[in-house]
Amino acid sequence: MTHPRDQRPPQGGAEGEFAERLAAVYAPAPMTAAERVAFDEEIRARIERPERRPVLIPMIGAAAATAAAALVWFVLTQPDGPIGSPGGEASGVAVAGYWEDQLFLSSDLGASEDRDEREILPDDYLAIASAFVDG
Amino acid sequence: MVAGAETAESYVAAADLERRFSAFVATHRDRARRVAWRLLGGDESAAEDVAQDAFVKAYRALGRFREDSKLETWFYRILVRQAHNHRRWRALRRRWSGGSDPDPADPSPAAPGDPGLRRRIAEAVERLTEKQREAFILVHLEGFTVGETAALLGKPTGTVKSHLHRALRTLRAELSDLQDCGGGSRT
Repeated sequence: MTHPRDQRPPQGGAEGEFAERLAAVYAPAPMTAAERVAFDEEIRARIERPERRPVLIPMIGAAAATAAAALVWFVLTQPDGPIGSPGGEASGVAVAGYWEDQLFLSSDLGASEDRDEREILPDDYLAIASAFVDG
Repeated sequence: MVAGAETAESYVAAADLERRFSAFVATHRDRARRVAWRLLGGDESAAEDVAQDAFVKAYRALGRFREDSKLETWFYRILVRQAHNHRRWRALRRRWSGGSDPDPADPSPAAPGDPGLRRRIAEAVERLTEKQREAFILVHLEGFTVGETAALLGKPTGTVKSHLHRALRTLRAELSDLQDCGGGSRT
């Protein structure tokens, strides 16, 4: 790693001396020749050892997938779940079918909108709407 | 014959890799251990463990780097990250075990110099924020440039400069009595 002039640490004067003093004191004892040999031997031993597989990540992934599947199953089979199934024993497929029927096959959806409108809007608005919108 | 030639070539390549790696370890062993030691607050055995792990990773990646300067940058990035992760695991272990930081002993009893002063510096450096500590150690204690440190930490140079400025201000305030003493030689 080179030290181009403009990239050198911003040191000099009192700051530089202070940092140098810290660097001189805050350092480990130098390695002895025997420690260097032991250090290198440990590196060699680790290289020879079979690479450790990160077992934790696949385990966490599997646990998360199981938890997600359990949650989906729980929500779909809840008798009073958030999607309001038609019956307590209905399966997920049956619930989905029920809502498909409600959304796409029910002929009463438009009627219910009309009914809502009549309940909310005053009579004169409805008269204007019937004259100008409905023709 | 082609298979034999290939085998011979692979032997030569393997021998070349081994030679490069041995040279790399010999060049960077002391510095790598010292960087890890400083980043880990003077924990000698952890520093050796982290440095050795980084060398093993460098060995496995050696074939990907034709230039040793690129391998060097990559190696110190790995080393800094390993030290970073080790600190986090250590903090987590302490929290789980319900223990507090052990009484700070002299981080390097065999090292020359005043052990009391070394302990004071270690405590002051440990009180810096993570990023300030890493930037300060790499630039001011290890002599990496701001640009190199930015690459090692994966931060913009402006951010590194800002961390350095704050770290130096904090340490000069905490260790103000050291500023009047004579400077020592840089390790």
